[in-house]
Amino acid sequence: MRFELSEEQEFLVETTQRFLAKELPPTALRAWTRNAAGEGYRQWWRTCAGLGWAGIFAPESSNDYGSVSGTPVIDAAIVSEIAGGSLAPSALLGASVAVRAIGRACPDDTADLQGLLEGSRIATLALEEPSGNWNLDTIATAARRDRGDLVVTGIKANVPDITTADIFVVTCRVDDSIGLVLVPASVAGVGVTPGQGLDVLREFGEVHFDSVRVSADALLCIGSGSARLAEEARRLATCLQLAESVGAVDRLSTLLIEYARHRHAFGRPIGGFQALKHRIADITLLVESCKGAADAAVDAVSNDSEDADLLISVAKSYIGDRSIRIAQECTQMFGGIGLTWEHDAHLYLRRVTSNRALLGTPEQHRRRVTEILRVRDAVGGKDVH
Amino acid sequence: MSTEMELEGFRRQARAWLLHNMELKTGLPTPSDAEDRQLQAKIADAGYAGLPYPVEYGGRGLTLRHQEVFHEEAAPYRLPAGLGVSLGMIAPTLLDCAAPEFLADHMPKILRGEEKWIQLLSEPNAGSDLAGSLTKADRDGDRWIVNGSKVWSTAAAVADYGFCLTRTDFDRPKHRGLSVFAMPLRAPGVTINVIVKSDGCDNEFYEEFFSDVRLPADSLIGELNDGWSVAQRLLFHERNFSGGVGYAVGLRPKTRESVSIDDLIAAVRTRGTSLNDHEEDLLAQVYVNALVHNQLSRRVSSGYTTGSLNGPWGSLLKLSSGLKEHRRAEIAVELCGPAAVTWSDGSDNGPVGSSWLNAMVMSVAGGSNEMQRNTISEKLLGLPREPALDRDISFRESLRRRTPGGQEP
Repeated sequence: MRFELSEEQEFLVETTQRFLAKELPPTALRAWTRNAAGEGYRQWWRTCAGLGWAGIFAPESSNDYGSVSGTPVIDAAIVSEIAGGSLAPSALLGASVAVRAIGRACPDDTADLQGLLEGSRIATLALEEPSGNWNLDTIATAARRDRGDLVVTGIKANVPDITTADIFVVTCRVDDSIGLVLVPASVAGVGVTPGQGLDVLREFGEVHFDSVRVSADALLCIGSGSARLAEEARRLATCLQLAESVGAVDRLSTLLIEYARHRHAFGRPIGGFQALKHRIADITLLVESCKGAADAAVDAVSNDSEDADLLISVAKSYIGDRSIRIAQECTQMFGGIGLTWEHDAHLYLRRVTSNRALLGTPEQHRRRVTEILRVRDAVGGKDVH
Repeated sequence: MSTEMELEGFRRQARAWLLHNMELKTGLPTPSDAEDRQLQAKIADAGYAGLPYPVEYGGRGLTLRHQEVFHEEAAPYRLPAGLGVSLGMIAPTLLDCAAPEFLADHMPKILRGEEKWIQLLSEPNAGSDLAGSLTKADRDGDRWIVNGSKVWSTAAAVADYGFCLTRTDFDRPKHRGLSVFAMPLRAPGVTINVIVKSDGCDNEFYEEFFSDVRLPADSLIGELNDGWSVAQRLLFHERNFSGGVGYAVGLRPKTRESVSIDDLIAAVRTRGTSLNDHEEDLLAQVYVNALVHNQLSRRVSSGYTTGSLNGPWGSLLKLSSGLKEHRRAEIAVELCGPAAVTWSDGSDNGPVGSSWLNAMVMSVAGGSNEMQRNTISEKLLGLPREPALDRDISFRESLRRRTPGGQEP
């Protein structure tokens, strides 16, 4: 967790931690394996929304919800980090992206918003496509204008909450640009195919849009454009995922350190052996570095800084690589117990390995870093800083 | 006036002073020792030296934030380059440990760059196991007589004083018979030799020999036989210096320029072929690692400022530097291929080869990666200490056990 917190944010940390410690003790986690969907999941998310998780980005007009600190991106990252530590099932990412985009485009659309804020409707971000490329430039799904409506056609892959989501927030090619279109799951032509995922605490799958007709105002715009909202959605989703991964590796390494203090072998705690404690020191360095990188990305998104894309890609590539190394190292040092179903190590390994690959792999984000820095040009003579 | 407003006022004032009084560093050579001292005196005369230090010791009685702000503004200017040990490590240690009279005497001169200090810690037989120091100080009336030797001291040839860890009691256990003295480097009986580094550099590190060097009683820093805790404070500040946090905040450049990969790109450019995807990825790794190191440093700094972090978190930054520099050099060698190992006179690629030879300097000097890992795991994470077989016996006894013959010191 970041150190500089307002009083309100400290309260947010405390209540979120207390809620998860009470409602989702480690023993309760197994009930969610291959089961983070359907009515139980809806009920759970309504409870989370009752704490305000779904409403962090609520526009000012919605009295009961909003950011405690006035910096909703940071608040959402705080919740995401804590939820990541507990591996809590959560629709935070979809809700944050949807509420923020709707609030920015049409803050008076209380009908659409209310259900999302209460948690009775679940939104999910449909960003990635089967091509496996995460860049907005390569999106093939298209929304065509037709007699005052929009007709959406395409396939989105790796979509979370696939069978439970009520609304898909879909990145589409529209009007020669990229836009964000809200497609209700109930509309004709929407077909979902749940898949199997390494992360057993989260549901993923594909959604097919087969000439899905929605009204033109399903396209979220600020002024005449929608590209900016699509860009913001991608940034926000990525930085909340980063915070989640950081929470996960932070908790896993804490569990390992506890274990290393108490587990005895050859007459002393295993944490006293240099062969292990040096590796634990390295893990601590990586975990703290991940926190620094994620916080910098979150701050940049929160401030809408011109470095936001660079810092997101720096963090996404760094945390993607290091989080799985941390999880693997921890699992190795737990020894036999770490290889069992009953131990949580694999759940963390599953989560961070999934996060590493989704919303852009480290390699893809490093390519983005070089594009931003124009390294290729620099080799031809331009300076890079 | 709020703190932030006051700081902004200070920033504007510093900016204006720098603009009118200091030279931009671009294109100018790194200052010599004599130039360092002149520059520092100029900064001190204007009231920008020793910002967080007490007024009675020649400081300004301001905060670490003032120091940070001054250096943020001063980053583009030509500043002293060789006073880091004096100002960033020794000065805060003295403030923690030295007597008021000692501070009143030395601190104003240190802050002005008049007295340049170095560390005299490592010895030929005491590196990572620093408490195994053999250099001894014997009492002679109201004086101390020092004999022994030190190694790996940076810039000893141009320094005035050394912060010298010595053994004052061989009959106490290893850590409890040490004391720290201020060693005047021009005193009779001090011999200074250069150590030629593996890359051929012969003006960076030195070794010193002390033969009956006589020190006055008031050279003692801290309590007699409490030198280990005094040395620990120095190591604490040294690690903060490596990370640019604590009393060293601002003393090392931490701006975006410091992670520039220009030099690496320039080296690759001389190769004459463009980068393939894999090589571009490697270059991006260097950039990402450097940026994340700075972000970690900001995190630790923020933890210190808010009081959330206590203890030697500088060790984490020191380990981070050690690993990052090594990886950077490794990537440079890979990117440059044959050009890293043979080059024509005047080409830029020599530094890639030397940076590879020097890659381990950062992971050994100032406490090896392995020592940082001990500190992190034991002091930050509370894992059990490494067992030491000589902790509770007299140092004399532990020396006897080192050799089968039972050699007396």
